[in-house]
Amino acid sequence: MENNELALIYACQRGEAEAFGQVYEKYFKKIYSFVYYRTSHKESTEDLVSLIFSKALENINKFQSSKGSFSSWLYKIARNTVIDYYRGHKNIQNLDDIEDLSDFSDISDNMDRKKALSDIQNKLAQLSSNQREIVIMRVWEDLSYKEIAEIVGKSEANCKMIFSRGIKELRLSLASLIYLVMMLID
Amino acid sequence: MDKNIKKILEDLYSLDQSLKKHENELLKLIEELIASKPKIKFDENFKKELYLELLEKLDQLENKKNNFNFMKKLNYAFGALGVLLLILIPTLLKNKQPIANNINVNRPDDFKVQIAKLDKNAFGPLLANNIEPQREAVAGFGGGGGVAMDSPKMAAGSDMIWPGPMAYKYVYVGEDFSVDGLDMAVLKKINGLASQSQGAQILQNLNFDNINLQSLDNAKLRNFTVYEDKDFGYSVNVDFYEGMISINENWERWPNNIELLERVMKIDDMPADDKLIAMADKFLQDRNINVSTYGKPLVDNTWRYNYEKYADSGEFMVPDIATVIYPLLIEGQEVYEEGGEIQGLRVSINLRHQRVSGLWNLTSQNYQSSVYDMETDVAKILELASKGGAYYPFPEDSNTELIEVKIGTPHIAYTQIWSFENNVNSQLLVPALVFPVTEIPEQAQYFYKKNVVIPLAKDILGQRMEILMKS
Repeated sequence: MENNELALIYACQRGEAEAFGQVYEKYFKKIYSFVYYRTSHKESTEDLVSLIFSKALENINKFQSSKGSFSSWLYKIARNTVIDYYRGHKNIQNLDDIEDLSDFSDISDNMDRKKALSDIQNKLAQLSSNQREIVIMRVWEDLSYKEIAEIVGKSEANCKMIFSRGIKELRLSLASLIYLVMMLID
Repeated sequence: MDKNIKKILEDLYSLDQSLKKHENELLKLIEELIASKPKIKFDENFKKELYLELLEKLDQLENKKNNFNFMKKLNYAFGALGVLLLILIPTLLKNKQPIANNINVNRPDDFKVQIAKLDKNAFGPLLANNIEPQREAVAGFGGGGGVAMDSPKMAAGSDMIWPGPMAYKYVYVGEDFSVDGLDMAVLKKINGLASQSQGAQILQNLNFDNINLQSLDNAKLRNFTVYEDKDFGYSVNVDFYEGMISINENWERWPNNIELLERVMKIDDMPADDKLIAMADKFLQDRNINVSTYGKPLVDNTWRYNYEKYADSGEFMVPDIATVIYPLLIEGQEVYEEGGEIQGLRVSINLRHQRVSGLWNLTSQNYQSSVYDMETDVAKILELASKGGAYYPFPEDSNTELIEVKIGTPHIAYTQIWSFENNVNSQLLVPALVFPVTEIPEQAQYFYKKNVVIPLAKDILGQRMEILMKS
């Protein structure tokens, strides 16, 4: 962990508000995105993000740099909070309640392009949950394998392998799709 | 090519060189994946409001810290000592000093169970700010469980599949029992190894050009790590402050053979329990690790339940790490986490290399004990048990699928409860009833809970019943 960040965390542990502000500023968007990718629902995301930062604040003294980075520690809280949410939440059964994540509105008017991206998301959804989680962490959240390993509780090598398998499946799956389209055109 | 994409591709090639010939396809795929990332519109007002709420919370937490100034000084002292150790350890290694001969890592008594008796209710009220809600959902991954994330829900347009809400009702099917006349006290763990000061004193005698370690007052050694710089070497961390020794693979020196790592583990790769235990025993014996305060070792086979259930679907793989647990025994009683897992010394075995890869939770066992009133009302205990025990239950509504799980006759044990007061985390061992899960219905996907644990201290049980009534 960077020494600066570690110093900030120690300062948070001593209750220094300014240090906490800096940590919050650094991680707010990351944690918000992490949750949103998994809920795709603004209000739920806000509730969970509040809960995650509250838990982190309450437990900041339990953080030990010898056991991993602060980033992984915080993401782990986020992941666990989302898991708890799905185990216990009652009102998310109706898909209509959920905002569609496939927001490609910023991508001109090119319908083919939008369709291609939508296909990718659909294929991503067909991966096993383990593969999907790690692919998203690596590609969307730009987390290192070391961080991912600490968050999901697997070895770094195992995470790499799961990612590799996920990408291979996506590649084969998309290749089949293209082949099918070509056949239909012919 | 973007730097991040390049790195992703390099990592893929490091596992499988043959992918290189598909580089164009992969490049396009990764680019598409990145492009398909949902665009999030952050609400700045929410961010500000949450920040203000958190600052208020921070303020409240601070007000609770009676000994704040003392702790602040202590933290600075430890911080300084940490920096010194960073300088010191490489020096020791360079000089090939026989470290173990210089410092008595622990006194013989450090790892024996020692209990000092205090007056009744000596730890104050046991009411908890320490209940960790729904940790059970967290701990299950890799160990045979984890419900929500394995329920295939994904942020992906119309293919989203959301897990249906499930609640478990624990139905008692055991024999009649009573907890009258229970003669067990609440224990509070005293952290740290006795030789913290002794260790620091030895280190203070080393001479450095730039710093005089002897200028430190009341110096204590917090932790140190030594590692074996050889193939299949280990890294040993001694944490004097927590009173814990752990051993891990020295990752840099464990062969990282791609074929070996890529190979999908099969059920035949999992050795029989007695073989795993023999490997763990030998590892401990070779390192002179005394396990006399621990019970008969057992293999954590939690994963097998879900493996047998889901092996055909290809969704559940045989793990590449096996764990042997030596259950901790305090005055003959086992210790359980609130989630139902047994506590103890854990030895991990890397099945790809067929070697022990680490050891965790070898801890000092010094406690204070104090008698507290225990709940004897069986009806109350069973009511809490029917909700799964120690956690805040989630409210149920008509959408919730209620699944009945059977639990059997309980036995007495301790349960581990964390308390955070005055900037210090304390571990309490509270007498508890442990109800074994005897039957899990088929529809309980990825269920892993082995036991329902009910702490018997009246303070704690009463508080939880109160929460239960409100929910």
